Amino acid sequence: MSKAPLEPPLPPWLRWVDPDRIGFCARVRLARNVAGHAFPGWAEPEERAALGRMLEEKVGALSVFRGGTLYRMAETSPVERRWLQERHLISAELAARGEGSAVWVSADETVSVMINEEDHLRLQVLGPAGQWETLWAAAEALDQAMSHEIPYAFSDRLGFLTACPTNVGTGFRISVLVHLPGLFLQQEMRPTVKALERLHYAVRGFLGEGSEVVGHMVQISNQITLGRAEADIIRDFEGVVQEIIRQERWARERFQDRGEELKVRDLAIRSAVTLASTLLLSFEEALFHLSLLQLSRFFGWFGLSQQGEPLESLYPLVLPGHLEREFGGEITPEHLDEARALAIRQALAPLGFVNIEFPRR
Amino acid sequence: MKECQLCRKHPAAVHWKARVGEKNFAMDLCHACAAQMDTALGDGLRTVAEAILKDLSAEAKSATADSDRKDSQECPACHMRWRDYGQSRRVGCPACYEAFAELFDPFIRAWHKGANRHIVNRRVRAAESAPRSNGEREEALRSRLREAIEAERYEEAARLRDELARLPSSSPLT
Repeated sequence: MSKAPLEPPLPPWLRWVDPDRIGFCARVRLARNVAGHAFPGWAEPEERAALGRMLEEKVGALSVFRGGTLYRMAETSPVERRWLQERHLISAELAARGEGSAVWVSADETVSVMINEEDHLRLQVLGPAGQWETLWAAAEALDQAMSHEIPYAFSDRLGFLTACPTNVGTGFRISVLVHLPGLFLQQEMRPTVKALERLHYAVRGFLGEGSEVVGHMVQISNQITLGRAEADIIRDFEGVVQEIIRQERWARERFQDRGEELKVRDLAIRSAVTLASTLLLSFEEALFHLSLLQLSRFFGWFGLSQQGEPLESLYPLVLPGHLEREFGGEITPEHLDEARALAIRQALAPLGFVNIEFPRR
Repeated sequence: MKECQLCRKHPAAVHWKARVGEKNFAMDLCHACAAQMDTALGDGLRTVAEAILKDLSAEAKSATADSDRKDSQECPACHMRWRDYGQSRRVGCPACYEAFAELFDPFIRAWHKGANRHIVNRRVRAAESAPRSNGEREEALRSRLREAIEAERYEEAARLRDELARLPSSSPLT
């Protein structure tokens, strides 16, 4: 099957190393603040803006941001802000802020530093799931470079001091997106989420805090940041993620054991045909169908195999901020659904889904 | 002497009683406040009087003078009050953690699974905490070594022991 001609290369949040495409978009984030200054939420606007300008300069001078881009929230359009959020480069909280808040994004989009979010600085490194040590090493190097420039708010007792007491200590958060159609379709998400929460992990939607769960994808992150060293947090997190991935594989295998394959395959065919032929396509709907397409690839249905098909590059085509940015401005919801449907139809045309050869029993 | 429950400035002089709707209320008031409450009731400003009375009775139940003091306690650096934290759930500045240390402690323990101390196990340390005298460094390393051994984190303990050994004029075994 030929590759669909889609824009290369994929942004870091869409790079998979796992052939089953379960875990992706891994992120390490460090919350840091400047010693002797009020946190952004409490600082007077002038103080916040002045500190923001100073931080913009210091962060921008780091070698990792050579060729990078500075987005000041007050000067960035809502479309661009949505786009940045969808690329997992900024949080919803930063997107909602204005004067004094900004983000530096490295040229390859693996590193970003949010300025005057909830904390003065949020250092973040993105990468494929599984390479936790590499990710942590990159974040640590960034942190070290930053600490030479800025005196951090730090106490020997509580570690790094943050605007929210839930982040004190290491200020360290590690997260990953996991695609779990097996667990969702087998109705096993509720106990899974409960178990994760009991272990003090947060389970959130596709775009992080406050976002909805769509396309059978959830974000898992650690909640405890104090009293444990980063290496220990990573080790436990890695174990939990591996366990979730194992559970998801078993859930998928059970489709075959329970003789439910026909049902799932029926769902998947509907999804493929819908994506390839629909005129209006909402965001939630698109991600739901893409999820089943990914599952089809796992099972090797419809001529999809685990290597090669550029299904990942379909994700940017359905995200509202991405569509609007392509269009050049804000679009009404109806037009957005139309543009989304068109983009997906065009991208899928080479895969020939409308003429799927039905399986013989 | 008791102070007036309304203005909290003048001494209470009247034990003021009223019946509003179905309920009886009683307060210790100064003359001026008692007169104001009389007018409020007399003018038919029942809702106002009722609101004040409700406020007071709720306050009397929940908020003792002690928690009042706690609420208005202020961070010397950024002037955030504990009450402000209660509303926003965001800390004012780094110094707040010292100013409200015992108030934050239960929150921090509850969230972080009982932990209330930072564990340093990194190659990078915050710039400001780095420059220390050798004595202080040795002291800190020793206490961390003790903690690590008690918690059976032997890998960390070994690393700390090596770090101690590298300090000038110190023996990790004493």
